[in-house]
Amino acid sequence: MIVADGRAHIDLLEAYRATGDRAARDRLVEEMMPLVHSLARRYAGRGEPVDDLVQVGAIGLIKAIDRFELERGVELSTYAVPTIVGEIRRHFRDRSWSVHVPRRMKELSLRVSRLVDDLSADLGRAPTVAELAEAADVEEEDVVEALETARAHTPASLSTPVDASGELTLIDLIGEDEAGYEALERGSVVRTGLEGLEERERRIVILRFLKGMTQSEIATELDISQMHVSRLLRRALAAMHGRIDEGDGMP
Amino acid sequence: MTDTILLTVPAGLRGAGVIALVLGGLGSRLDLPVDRIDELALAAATLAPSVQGDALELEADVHEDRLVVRIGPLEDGTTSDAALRRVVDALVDGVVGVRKGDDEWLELELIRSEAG
Repeated sequence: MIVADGRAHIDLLEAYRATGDRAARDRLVEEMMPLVHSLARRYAGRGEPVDDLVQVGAIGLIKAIDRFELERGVELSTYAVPTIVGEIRRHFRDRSWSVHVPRRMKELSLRVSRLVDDLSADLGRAPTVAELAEAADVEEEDVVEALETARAHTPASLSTPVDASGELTLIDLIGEDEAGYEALERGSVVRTGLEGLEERERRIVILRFLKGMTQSEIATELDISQMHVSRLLRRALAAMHGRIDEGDGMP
Repeated sequence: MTDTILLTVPAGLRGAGVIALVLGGLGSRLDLPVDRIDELALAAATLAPSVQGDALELEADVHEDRLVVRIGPLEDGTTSDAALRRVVDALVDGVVGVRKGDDEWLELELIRSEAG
């Protein structure tokens, strides 16, 4: 049977949710793969094989299926598009490097970056180098080098669009209504440093240094990788340094 | 038994990369989670622009349960810079200003907890 409408998608999703029936989810993924192919083709000719884009797009689709709330009142496909596109764009972002890196190390770095997120979810904490080495089946020294290589990526901006329309950005996902945002900012010892940052960088610094969230927690909240949080913090702190030096040493 | 590692690198981006690799290796020996190792390296990178002259010196004591890293020589007033200290404090488990001769250094500590 070919699922031809949104109702059938919902039926499969309900079956998956009610019974945990993986076959129902797999069927749903299969039925919605033409959407992934269509979105992946939009990014053809930009230096990445379309097959790779389809693969990462499929990851986005599975995420969308797992997160979709039936009571949203929108089509699953409508909900899935920004997630799929976001995953494809993340792939491009992860493929951009600020320095020359050997291909083997690029590949390992990307694999290790994903393993950091996967193992963090499984373990409830960030993995150790040894755990990553075992999962990647490489030496610990290779993991250390791969992690450092990952930081050499060109960091994408938090204003990078994550939806198909290009209007929704990562910073939008943080939310404008941060509880106590202004209160946190007032009287903060890092206020001077924050003043010179772009809005997106200010927020991630606030989450880490004023709200005390860990990199992993920030990554989960923003739905970005821990490595990406690390890169953004690194860039923000580098930008803040000069201004902190000129600050008034607040309490 | 405590191992001590001494390292001198250019006080710039290249130096920060080398430091991150070394700290990554040391953190691995202590079986520390990668995000904590990363934040130690981030703390070191944050201090790098405050180093006097063209070379950053790093001393690392590797204990069974903790990693102690001293970075210097720092520009005068760095160790009492409340804003900088606040940022670095958030990245590691302990920060102490120390003096070596006439120079200021900062000592950073990362402790291995039960959870890793």
